[in-house]
Amino acid sequence: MTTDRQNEGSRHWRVLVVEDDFTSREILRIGLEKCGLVVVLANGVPAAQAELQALGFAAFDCVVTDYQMGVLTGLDLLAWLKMEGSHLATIMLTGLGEKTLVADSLRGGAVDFLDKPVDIPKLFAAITKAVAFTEQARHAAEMSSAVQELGRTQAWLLQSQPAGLPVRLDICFHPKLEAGGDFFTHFKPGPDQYCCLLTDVSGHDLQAAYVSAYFQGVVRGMLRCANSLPEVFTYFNHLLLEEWNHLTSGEPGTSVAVCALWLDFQLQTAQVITCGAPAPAFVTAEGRVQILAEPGGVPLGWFEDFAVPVGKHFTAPGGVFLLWTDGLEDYAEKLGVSPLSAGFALLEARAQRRLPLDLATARDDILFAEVRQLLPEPVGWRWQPLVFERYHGGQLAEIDALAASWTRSLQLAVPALGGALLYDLMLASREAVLNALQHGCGHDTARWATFQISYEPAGRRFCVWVDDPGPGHDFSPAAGAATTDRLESGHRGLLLMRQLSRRLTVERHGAGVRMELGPEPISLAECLQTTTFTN
Amino acid sequence: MKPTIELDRQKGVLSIQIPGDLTSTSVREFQKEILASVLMPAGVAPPWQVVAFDLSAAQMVDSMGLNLIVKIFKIVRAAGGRMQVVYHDTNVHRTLLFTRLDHHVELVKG
Repeated sequence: MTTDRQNEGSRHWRVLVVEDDFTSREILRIGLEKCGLVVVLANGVPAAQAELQALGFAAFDCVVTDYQMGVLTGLDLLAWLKMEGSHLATIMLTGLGEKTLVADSLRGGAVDFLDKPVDIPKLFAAITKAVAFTEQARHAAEMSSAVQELGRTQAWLLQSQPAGLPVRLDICFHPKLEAGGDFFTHFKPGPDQYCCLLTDVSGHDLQAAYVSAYFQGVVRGMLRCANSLPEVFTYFNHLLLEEWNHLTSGEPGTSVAVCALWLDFQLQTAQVITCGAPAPAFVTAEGRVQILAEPGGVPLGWFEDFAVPVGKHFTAPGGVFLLWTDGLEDYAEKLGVSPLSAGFALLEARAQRRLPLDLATARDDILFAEVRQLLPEPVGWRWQPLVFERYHGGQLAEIDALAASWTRSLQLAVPALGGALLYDLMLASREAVLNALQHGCGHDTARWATFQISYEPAGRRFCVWVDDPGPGHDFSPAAGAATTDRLESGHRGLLLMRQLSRRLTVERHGAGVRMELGPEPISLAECLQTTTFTN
Repeated sequence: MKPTIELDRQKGVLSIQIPGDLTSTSVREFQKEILASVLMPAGVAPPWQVVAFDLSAAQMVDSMGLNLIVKIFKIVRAAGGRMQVVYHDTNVHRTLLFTRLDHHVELVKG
């Protein structure tokens, strides 16, 4: 039997008892009221639904329902409670011969079942567990709602544009859960100055979101007090190691990877500091990609003897900065594509309000930011880099795998691309890279070539850049003529590059090549017109 | 995957069937075998008059692939034979036309 002390805490529990048999209902009421519970009676499922709708789910702590009650059964009530999202734990009472209902009841969401006739002390014990279950479910729902609210707040904060500065920002943020530890913030530290920070706090939980928000606040506050970014990072590294991480003994501790970009529009300079975050990219007004830092800087919170890497400082009029967290690289690797194409695909998907490919399976928070300088006046078109890679001379044998990854990257970023234009792009790229690795790098693993494919969405044009450290290549019409007319080998790759491009530009005697393709593939007539050589 | 090389002595046709793309990777793999099938010792007349180079399974032909076709063509021409290139993919056909191989070999839709 329950004691008064045991009943003390249960005094205010309100239980809905659903039973169509008057006698059984009264027995339950009397027994449970003796246990100190507030009992509300319903003589069937419709009456129970009416009570719950009238008083609200929150007015009850659990439901005790008979199974067999005419047309609508206890299982119907369970299904309705689930559909309404009530979080109310339910105990099912079953009669003789209804044992098989147990599995269905449990699947339907009942937390317990009891045989009839009901033993009141057993029922009270079951109700005690059920009430605890209801409380847990409600707490979890409140937490989930709070996290969703945090996620909405993060998303809302990311929408803000820098006021009064010639900068346009485009961001996509996909936390693994409702809210995440990746975050982007930006502000105006002084007249004609713009600063943005991309941070990635270890973990994907609320703590990560909290640390991220705290870090952003510390940065803003310290910068306002005239501290420099290296001073801020050094301080936060110290804070993580000395004040926070030692509290979590046995845990890996918290670390913060960060990438900071500081633009001064008066001096026309840009400074980049990267601590553990992927190196950002700068896209020149002409569309060329430059990676702004060597990877390898450590995140804040790892080492006491942390030294802020000297930020890359350079003159950067115009152009676009691309920043991202390692979650984007992981996502891209999983898809077998370039991170830049994945970032572009995410921005496009966001603009078109659709879910990007396979995002649900991402293993990390993903953040990709595009910071576009609007000074000097933006050019009429923009080249969006989709692939930027470095290959050494020893990678010649990997050409099929490399080309397959370019194809996947292009098809992810520009789904409409296919047919002859995709073929031409792949063939021209393949020839250029083969040429660079074979002749420019001389098969040497210490010599590197860069490869880039960019896309101009407005004109649906593509641009391929390949640079190698070699002496150059002969793109002259005479060499092309020898190849086609006299069937000489050796220049056929260069000839194909000329023929497939609408425009081919060479630098450094051909060691740097820029090919423009699209919006339509070259036709045979165009090809013959541009590549007819005379002896 | 290896190329299939068959000689029909009655018709005088040497058929070389490429199992997939004809690119730098595959050319390195089976160039030797293919060239050996068309090269004849000095003074020996080839048992074929036509070499049918079958690219019906190819979806890409790159410069190395084109170079191989040209090499075979030169051997066939020197032996007094003629060469057909069988294609199926339109992009492969474009590549053959762009590089004006149709001026030298017969292109046949497969």
